[in-house]
Amino acid sequence: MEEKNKLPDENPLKVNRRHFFSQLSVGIGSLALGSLLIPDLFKNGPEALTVRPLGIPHFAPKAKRVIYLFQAGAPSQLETFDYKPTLEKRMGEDLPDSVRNGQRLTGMTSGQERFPLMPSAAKFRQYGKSGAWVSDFFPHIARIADDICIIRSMHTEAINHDPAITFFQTGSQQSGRPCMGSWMSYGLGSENKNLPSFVVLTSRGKGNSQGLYSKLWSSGFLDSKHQGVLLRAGKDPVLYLNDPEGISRSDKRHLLDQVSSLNKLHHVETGDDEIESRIAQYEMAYRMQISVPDVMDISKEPESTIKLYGEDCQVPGTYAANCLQARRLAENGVRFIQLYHQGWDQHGNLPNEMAGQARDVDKASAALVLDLKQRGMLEDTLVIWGGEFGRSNYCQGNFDPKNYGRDHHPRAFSIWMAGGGIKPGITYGETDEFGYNIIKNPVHINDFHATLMHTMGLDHEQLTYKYQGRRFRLTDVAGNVVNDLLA
Amino acid sequence: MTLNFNKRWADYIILSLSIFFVFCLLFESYIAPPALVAWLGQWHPVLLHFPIVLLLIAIVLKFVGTRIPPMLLTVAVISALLTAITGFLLGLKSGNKGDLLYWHQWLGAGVALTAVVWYYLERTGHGAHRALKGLGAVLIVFIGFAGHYGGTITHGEDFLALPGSRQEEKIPDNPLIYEHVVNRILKRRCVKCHNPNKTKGELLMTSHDHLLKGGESGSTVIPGDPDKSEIIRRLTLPDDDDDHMPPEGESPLTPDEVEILERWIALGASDTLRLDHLDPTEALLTLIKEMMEPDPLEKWALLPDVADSTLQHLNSDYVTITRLAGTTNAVRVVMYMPPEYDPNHILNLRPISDNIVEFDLSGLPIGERELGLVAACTNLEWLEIDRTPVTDAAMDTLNVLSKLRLLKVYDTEIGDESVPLFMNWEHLEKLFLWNTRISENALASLKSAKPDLSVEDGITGDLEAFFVAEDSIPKQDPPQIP
Amino acid sequence: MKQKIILIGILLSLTGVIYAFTSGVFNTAKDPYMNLKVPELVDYNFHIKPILSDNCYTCHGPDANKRKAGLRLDIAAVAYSELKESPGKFAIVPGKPAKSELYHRITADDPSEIMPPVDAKLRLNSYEKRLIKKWIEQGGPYEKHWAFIAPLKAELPETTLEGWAQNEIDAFVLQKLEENNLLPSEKAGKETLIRRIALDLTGLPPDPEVAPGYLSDTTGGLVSKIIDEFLASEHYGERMTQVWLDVARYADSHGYQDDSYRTMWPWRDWVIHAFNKNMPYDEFLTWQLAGDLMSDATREQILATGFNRNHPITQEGGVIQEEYQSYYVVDRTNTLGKGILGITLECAKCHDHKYDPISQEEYYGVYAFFNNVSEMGLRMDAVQAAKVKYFADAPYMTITDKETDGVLSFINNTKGEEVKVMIMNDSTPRQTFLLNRGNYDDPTDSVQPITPAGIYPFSDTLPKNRLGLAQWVTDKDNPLTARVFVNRIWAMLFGNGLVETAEDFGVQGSLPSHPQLLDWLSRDFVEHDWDIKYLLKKIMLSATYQQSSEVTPALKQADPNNKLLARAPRFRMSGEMIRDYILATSGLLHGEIGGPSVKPYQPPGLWEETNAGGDRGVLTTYIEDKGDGLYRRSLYTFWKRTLPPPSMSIFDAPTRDFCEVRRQKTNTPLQALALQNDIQMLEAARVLAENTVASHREDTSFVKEVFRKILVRSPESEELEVLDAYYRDALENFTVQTGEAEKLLALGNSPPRESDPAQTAALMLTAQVIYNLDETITKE
Repeated sequence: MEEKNKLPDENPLKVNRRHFFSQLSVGIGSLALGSLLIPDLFKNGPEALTVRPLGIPHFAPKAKRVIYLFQAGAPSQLETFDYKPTLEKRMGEDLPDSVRNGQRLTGMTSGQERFPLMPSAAKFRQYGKSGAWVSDFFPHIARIADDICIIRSMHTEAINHDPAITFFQTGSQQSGRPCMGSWMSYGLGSENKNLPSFVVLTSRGKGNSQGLYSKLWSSGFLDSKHQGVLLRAGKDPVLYLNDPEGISRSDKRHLLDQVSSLNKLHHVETGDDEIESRIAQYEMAYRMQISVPDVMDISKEPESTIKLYGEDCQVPGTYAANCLQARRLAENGVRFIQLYHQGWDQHGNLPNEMAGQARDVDKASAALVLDLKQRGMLEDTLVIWGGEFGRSNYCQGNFDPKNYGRDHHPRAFSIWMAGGGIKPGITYGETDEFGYNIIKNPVHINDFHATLMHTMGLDHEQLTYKYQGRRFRLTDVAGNVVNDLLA
Repeated sequence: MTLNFNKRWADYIILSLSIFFVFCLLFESYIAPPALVAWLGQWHPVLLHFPIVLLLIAIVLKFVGTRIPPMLLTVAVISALLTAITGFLLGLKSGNKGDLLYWHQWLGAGVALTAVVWYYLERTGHGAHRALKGLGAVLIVFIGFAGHYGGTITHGEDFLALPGSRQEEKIPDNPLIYEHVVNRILKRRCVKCHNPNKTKGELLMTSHDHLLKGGESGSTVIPGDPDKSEIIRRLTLPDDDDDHMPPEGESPLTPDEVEILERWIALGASDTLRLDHLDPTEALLTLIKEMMEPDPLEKWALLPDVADSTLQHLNSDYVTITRLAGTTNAVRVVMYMPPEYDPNHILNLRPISDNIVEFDLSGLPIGERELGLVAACTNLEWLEIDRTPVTDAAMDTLNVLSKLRLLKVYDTEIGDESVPLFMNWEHLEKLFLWNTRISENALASLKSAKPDLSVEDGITGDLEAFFVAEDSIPKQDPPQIP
Repeated sequence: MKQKIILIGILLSLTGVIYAFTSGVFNTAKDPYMNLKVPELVDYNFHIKPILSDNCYTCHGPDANKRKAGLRLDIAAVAYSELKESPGKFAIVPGKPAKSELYHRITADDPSEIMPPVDAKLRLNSYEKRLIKKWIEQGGPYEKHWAFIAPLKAELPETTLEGWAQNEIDAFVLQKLEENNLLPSEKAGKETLIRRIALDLTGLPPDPEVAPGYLSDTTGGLVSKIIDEFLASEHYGERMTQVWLDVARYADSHGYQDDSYRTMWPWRDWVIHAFNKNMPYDEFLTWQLAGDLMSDATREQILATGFNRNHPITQEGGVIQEEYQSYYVVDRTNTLGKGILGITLECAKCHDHKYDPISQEEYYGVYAFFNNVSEMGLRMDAVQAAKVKYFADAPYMTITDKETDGVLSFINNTKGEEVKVMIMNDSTPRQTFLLNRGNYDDPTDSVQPITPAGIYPFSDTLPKNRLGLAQWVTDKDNPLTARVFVNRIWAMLFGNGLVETAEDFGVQGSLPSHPQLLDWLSRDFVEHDWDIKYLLKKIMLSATYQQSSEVTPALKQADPNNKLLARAPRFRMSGEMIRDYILATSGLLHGEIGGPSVKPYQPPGLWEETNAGGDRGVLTTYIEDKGDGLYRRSLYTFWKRTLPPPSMSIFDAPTRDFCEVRRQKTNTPLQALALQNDIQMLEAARVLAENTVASHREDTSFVKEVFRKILVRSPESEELEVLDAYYRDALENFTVQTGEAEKLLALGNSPPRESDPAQTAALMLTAQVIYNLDETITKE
């Protein structure tokens, strides 16, 4: 625990109390002018150095929980939300060096002599009051254009998947830092004591995939109770959750009663309070054995909901199923729900693969937003959709409009957010006519983190953890809240 | 005439005290008093009232020419000295002495020592009557200023300001960006030095014209070009830069305030621009909105105190009670469905009913009694009772919840009888009711009666057609991995 | 007249009372720091430096680039000299707080004056302020950071308590206790002590058949005898290796995406071997850092250098090789810092260290030592690698049958199978540059191999290569190496090091609770030729180690965190130890030493879910071993970096992505679930039950027997009652519903043994109860 957080005298009141002036005023106040002074007591002097009790927002939050629909592998901004007619006009021409201007390339295209520009494989249309541009790959997301906030000016430094995802998750390209979900769990605690506060659901499309790894939900140097819990499809959603065949619920209760009564005996003997908390943990585990399967059981969901998310949502392990799961988890007070959908790494065969990937996620993503909206959950739930970086506006390998690929591109990419105090129905940021460089309102990943924390009622500069002699933040040493995005 | 009484002890006390005090003043920097002695300093604020009152009385008597009771003068002078000494001790404890403290100390010393001189003259009978009166006059001045500085030290510069003159007036709904927002910031941070009486750098910030006219460094504001505008340059300089504004010692502008000025200039620094002229993605919009709506924490400051221990005690495996933010007394209560439901989980919350601002009872089999408790939560702003067996009758008991902002009652049995209720709650902004018994007409009338109220009545019409009616995932053969 | 005086008197006292009341005399505890007593003599290293470094160094510390107003408070000369930006003022005027700007600023209240500045969101508390005031009054003396001064053996302190101390360690501990008016706890019971020593030295419980022998042993020096026996056991090496693997970030896969297989396990076998033959620590380090550079290096010495190739290596397509090559070197550098020197070198990668005397140039000086390896990164992806069995990235050594029969006999390899192990070399000399902000593609000045002079100067006589580095590290006067290791051994035995932040002995790290003891032990360790077994025995023979771990209310009150060691610690075992413990007590453990890593039970599908789908090489799917592989000690469990064995990570095992020297000891519901439902645990309970039922005629002794086997002590009557009742109860159930019983007895791969199902199942559940006791998974 970051002990500075706990010091009571960081409270301005006491800070002031201790120095000359306030001593005086109290003195006089008590004697002569009484109440007149009390308000003044805190008026001048340093600005409030607020005590930040952990597990409580710093200021009134807009969002109480996050559902992060992470599209692993990095979907192309040029086939999703960043419409670039110029690319159609100049199709096949080389990317002008003036535009590329020194951007380093991955080993996959650094060998290429030519960088032929390639327009979107899908048509673009405008939707909603805001007239947001969305590609035909995403007909359903297009229908919720007025509920979402599209950011076309995200940028990062990493050009390879591993560092890029790690950067998004932990605010650092190298592994070892806690990831967003853990920070939230650390800063806001859990709302439902019978479920983990940070869960992870994974699914995989048919497109070219990159692997995932447990460090993407690791709590780094934070207490490992903030670690993300992987909720798995099938009968054992949480590792070791199910009792073995032959042990009934009542047997288990009976067994645990023996365990705790013996533990209590031993507690009396040793006086070690750790034993008490062990008993408590066993009880919570016992409750989880009910609450988790309850949440995961969608059998009571009405037909209309099933259709809303798409029939796939009845197939465990699909993206649609995970979206529905996400809503149910959010309803049950899980703080941070991290979805991963793999398969967005289109170095080749993009038109075909992306169509497939889009089919996996388009309807369910939009359905999730609609469902949250009708349940009033968009009021306090933040939904985020996006990948780890963008893709090049030129094609990788040889130039073939039917079957081209795009390489990684860190300088500009698109994501969208919805609910949780984010302005709906706007499109934010702009890239140049090539969709290569940002020309308006850039949003760096650190800014994104700062903004996300702001909606959760956390000051990204004050939620710190002291480790190896240094105070660490999710936003490291950078990051500004992007006010324009806040409703 | 002289004070003819021989209380030698008084003389000795006064003499020794004076010597000690003078010594203190001379060797201040070498003095590090032991804790107990330093503690005596705390008495300064107590003592100081005596010399003020007693000396003034004495002086008044002197002027009206009546004889001053010796004991009065003696006590007055002694108390003056004690006050000065204790004050001195207290002063030692505050690391560096600002001007205020500095003057306060020396004027205080002045009072004490002049008083001693006066006493001496009265005692020995030297000194003409007029001279003594003059001395009195001087004393009054000293006392006045010492007192004033003392007061200022304690309660800040403007503690004598008239009530009202300190707090700013509320920003109107659709404010003029310059007059209501920009000017407000300038007033708060800059006008102190850039006003007609004290026009630092020949810059006046009291009016739009003056602002555009600029000061000696000219181009204070260049409409449309914040980066070239002197004011922005100065504001955004590093704090330790000499050109940084406001200068060291003055409280700086918040990042938001700077951004507001920046955006306002970028948008042409007009004085006619209004909030509703701004385009929805404009940063100013959010910034100003934030300025306009009071921080909920202030609103909640009036709620009764509730101890952490109380909350802890009421928390249970399935009921989570948390403060909404920081140390506010506004709490949020969420209950989840336990294996066997027990109304007491909710009924036990009565002690904190006034603190409950958000209440989530979604999906619980709550009955009349629980809703009774809910009705007792008079500060409730956010209520979730969707998917509960709530009835119109029960709803009616909730009409007392006048602060309600958001209500979720979808998936319930309530019907048209509840609609008037929704119309009554004047603060109600968001209402979620679908899959209830409320009729189309009732709903329509509600919407027409409260156009501002956002009523969410589920996924319907073409949206439903597009999403739900037929499962529209286009089926194609899966693409191959290259 | 009289009345007037009395009147005034009353008035004064009255106002006095009111004033006292309002100024909070009656409601104390407003500021908990008010009552803290400032020590008579304020010590710079122990009282002042932590405050300055934590609150001020960020802007007024070693980092030249971030330094504000030219002031640095870490160096006396500068702190005493006139302030550049405010002539006539001095940060510190020795003896005169009132004239010291430092004191003015920390006590100021004006936002533009106060330090640390408002936006730093830091504030000194009253105690800290009073400390600094007093320190300045006492002349504001500076000293070198304690950890950078070579340790010296202090005189053993005088203590009053007679007949408790058993060796030097106790003198130091007792002194602290007496300072705080505390008494040490009495000696732990024999049973507890034997269990404690066994767990500490072998990571396994004592054999319940042998333990009674010890108990009846009346000859003196019992403990000493036990210690020697455990130190002699082969399992000692395994236990020590277990800990070293975290430091060495050992794993059986490359890490990063498309994680694929690597064969580093022969290096792991070497570590076990080295510990078992009690290789001196300095030699142990030298071989691992520079074995290849030693004069006519042996195969064994070369193998040892695998230590510095344990870091993750990417197989991601299209990475820029230079970028990752620099990551690898950075990893080696940081591992040296964190794991061996106990210093946060990595903080100097992008800028001068903000707290410790390490310049960015010195960081790349150390970096330079590791920058000459002929590594090109993986040449192929996981799938190809699987095809051609490419499990080691150059440079590597190939270990043949001949060697495993001869010089490398400790490697447990199957005949006829060569195995490649990655090792270090200096065959590609590279010019090292200082990397601006740590970016591989932003080199600035060239740097020569060098170590941080502020810690310990690098003698000119040393070669400027890894061998020289190793000699610098293991120089008997290097202030860190011995301290750090001794501290980690202490932490292994006591749960917490004498320096709690075992990874950071720097200015920002925590201070030693017993500085003299730490120094004494470190010196003693070095004087005895870095003899690890000697060190362990020394500590274990102390009365301090042998205390009971009972927490009396008084102690809980006086010293909740047991900083003063008035009792033995009591803490949860590591995941590995818990699993080993359960295997051992159930009789399932397969004691074979070394060899390729094994794949015990793991919930199915974990690897498949997270990998990228399709064929991803050797590690696409997790294929459980059959037979012995399921019951090997946990340090042989296959470690896939991107998804470490859950039964370990649930118990706070690190990912092995980088060097880790201190594990958390959390207590979570997931742990409870694992202990209840991990098939490994259930099977153990089953087998233990079967064997007990089979080998004992009358079932009255069953419960007692199982209890004794697991906890290596006989149950108290109360405990026995509870368990017996439970057993009877379960037995009744299972005699009616044998179906359930058989289901339970079908758990696990080990062949079932003939025994009465009802009894066995009932006893199995009883065993499960005991396996889930806090005591079972705790070292007492």
